[in-house]
Amino acid sequence: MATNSLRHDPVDVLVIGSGMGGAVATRVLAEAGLKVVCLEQGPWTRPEDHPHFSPDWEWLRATSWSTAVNVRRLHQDYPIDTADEQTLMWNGVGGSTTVYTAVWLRFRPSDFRKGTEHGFQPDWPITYEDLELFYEQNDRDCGVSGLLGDPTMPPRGSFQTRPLAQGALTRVAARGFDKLNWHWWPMPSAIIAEDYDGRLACNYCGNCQSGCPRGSLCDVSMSHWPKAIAAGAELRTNSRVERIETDGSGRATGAVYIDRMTKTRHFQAADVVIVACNGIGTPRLLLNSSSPRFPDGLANSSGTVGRHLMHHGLALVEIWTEQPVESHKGTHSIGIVSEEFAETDPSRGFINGFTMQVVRANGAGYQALGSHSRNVSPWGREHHDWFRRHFGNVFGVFLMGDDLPLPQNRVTLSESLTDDDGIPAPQISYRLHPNDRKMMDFAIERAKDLARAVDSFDVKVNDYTTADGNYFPPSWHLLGTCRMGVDPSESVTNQWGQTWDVPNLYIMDGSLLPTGAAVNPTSTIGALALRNATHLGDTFAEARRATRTAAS
Amino acid sequence: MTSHVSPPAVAATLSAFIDVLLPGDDAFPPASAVGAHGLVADRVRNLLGGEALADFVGLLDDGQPFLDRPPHERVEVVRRLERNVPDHFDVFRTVAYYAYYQNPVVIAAIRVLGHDYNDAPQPRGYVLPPFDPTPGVDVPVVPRGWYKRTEDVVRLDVSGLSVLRQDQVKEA
Repeated sequence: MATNSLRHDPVDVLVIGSGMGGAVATRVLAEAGLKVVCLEQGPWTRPEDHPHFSPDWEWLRATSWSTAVNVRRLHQDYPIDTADEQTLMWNGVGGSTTVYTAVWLRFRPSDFRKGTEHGFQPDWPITYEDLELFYEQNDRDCGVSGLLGDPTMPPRGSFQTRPLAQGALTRVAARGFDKLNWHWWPMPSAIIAEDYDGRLACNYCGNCQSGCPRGSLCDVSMSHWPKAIAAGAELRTNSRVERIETDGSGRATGAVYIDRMTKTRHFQAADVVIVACNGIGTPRLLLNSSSPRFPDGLANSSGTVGRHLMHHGLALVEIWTEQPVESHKGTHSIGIVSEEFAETDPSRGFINGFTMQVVRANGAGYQALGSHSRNVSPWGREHHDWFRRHFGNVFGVFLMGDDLPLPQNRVTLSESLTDDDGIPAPQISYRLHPNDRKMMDFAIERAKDLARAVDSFDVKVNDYTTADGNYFPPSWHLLGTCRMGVDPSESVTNQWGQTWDVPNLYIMDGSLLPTGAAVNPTSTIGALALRNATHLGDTFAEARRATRTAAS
Repeated sequence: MTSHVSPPAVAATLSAFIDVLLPGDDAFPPASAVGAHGLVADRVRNLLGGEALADFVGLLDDGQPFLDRPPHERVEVVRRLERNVPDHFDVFRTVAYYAYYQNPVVIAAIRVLGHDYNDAPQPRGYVLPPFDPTPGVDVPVVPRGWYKRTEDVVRLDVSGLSVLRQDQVKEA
């Protein structure tokens, strides 16, 4: 521990990161009566901070409210050293739930069994059924809208509110899916269609990608943190953790952090440390916490910390129809989903599957710039006619495939970039496996089938390939870099997120996921954090003194 | 390269440039008529630095002042810039489109076309027809699809998949 650090009174649990995993863990453990401190490198975001009320809301979304950390470059952010992707995240209270789209699909039972199914991904150490009750409880904590009866998922408990309004856009898309005889279903969402738990129902403003100042969207700074704080948890904002310290026995003793407002260095001691900094921030912190006892980074005896990075294979096809669909109205990503191709079918020429998600297109400026597919309107005399024809007539089909966890897709520490406090930035290497490239090519063709089925007059494919032919995706789902498992030589933690090497160090975020499925991961990250935090709370008397990590 | 064009000349040239991009018609105003060049200048300066604006104007003035050219030649100059400095051109076009479409006069023009379009997303939001559970509206007439239960997951024969033979990182 740095000798000039200001020492704080020890606590039972130190949580690092206040996003989905950190918020759930803090709330559960504080409500269990434990003394919990959470360190968050960013500030609170107040409702009035969001750009939704300003006429330049689209410009703000492209700049200071960009989800791309290397575009936004706020002081609480850290740069990403990479030429392989546009990394997306939010650093502040609530983490990336501050600005996400709240798609709330669950992983499928087979997503937990890919090792059994084909062997190119590992089995999870748990099954869908192990997580099912925690999916349900986490839904109640977040507030989820949707419709029961989807035949592509196991039966589930009630939604908290009715489904969100759909409108012309999803109805046009649905008729296309019907023509093709493909599955579709109203998208479940952590955006509430009715008032729930003190939060207002959605009013369909369309700017979900800059978060939700009404609190209709489950931003955990509004849904979870007030309850965690009411239960006695302390949340220290603008507190950037530099490293986790360990003692001579190899147990974590706490963390050194920098108060970004005063630039003073502090040490917070704790019996148990939980890291929940997302799939990039967590391996970055563990790798930056190396010591003579842990020369390759903390909890990294397997060499897998930072490896097996998954983002999903991504592509987006935009479809312009003759029928106006009011593309700027409604919840951005909560249209309908098709899981027609979600299960593995080797006859397609690849393993794993993908989902097709019908999405909206933001405002007039964004649509003139070609929306998500960059079908940029012409400048000059043709511009206004193009705008008349295209504005309000577009929907997107976001294609999300289950990418293979490759060891060479990884997070390391940058040798050239640091954050504002001098801490090494993460360096990211990421490439799609040929299987995943083939899957996404297949998916793009299916989206074109849909375009034909709705009699589109214009279609644009964005396969996230740059002019020089490189795949450069917007990487929002940060998964797999400290995966859980049953074998300490191939994983970082056991099934409870307890690291094999440091028995009082836990991970509770997307880093844990051994596979990424073909859906947005936040509901699974939350459910898994809830399961693991509940277990930790139930066994805390032993956990705080643990000198070894149990295999199960 | 740093241009030495005077600020009033920069403003005039930038106005003419964005009018080439967004010239207006019977429903939409030209970009300069709604003052979009002010926002463009401000945002480009923030994004690229103060000299970038003057430099870009210098490119527009290459060979002959942009303002002295007739309309069809201005279009040619802009087309040449789009071809020769695509990244810079893209920044200016992006900034111009955003500045234009946030303007209340342009938003009014969008409304005249029949769109229900707010000045900003909040506080009004929008009214959509409520979810309609009638089969064939917001719910499939015949729900389709399936999932594989945990106990039904068995080893698949993937030996014929060429994409996997390239793989060096078999997991299980």
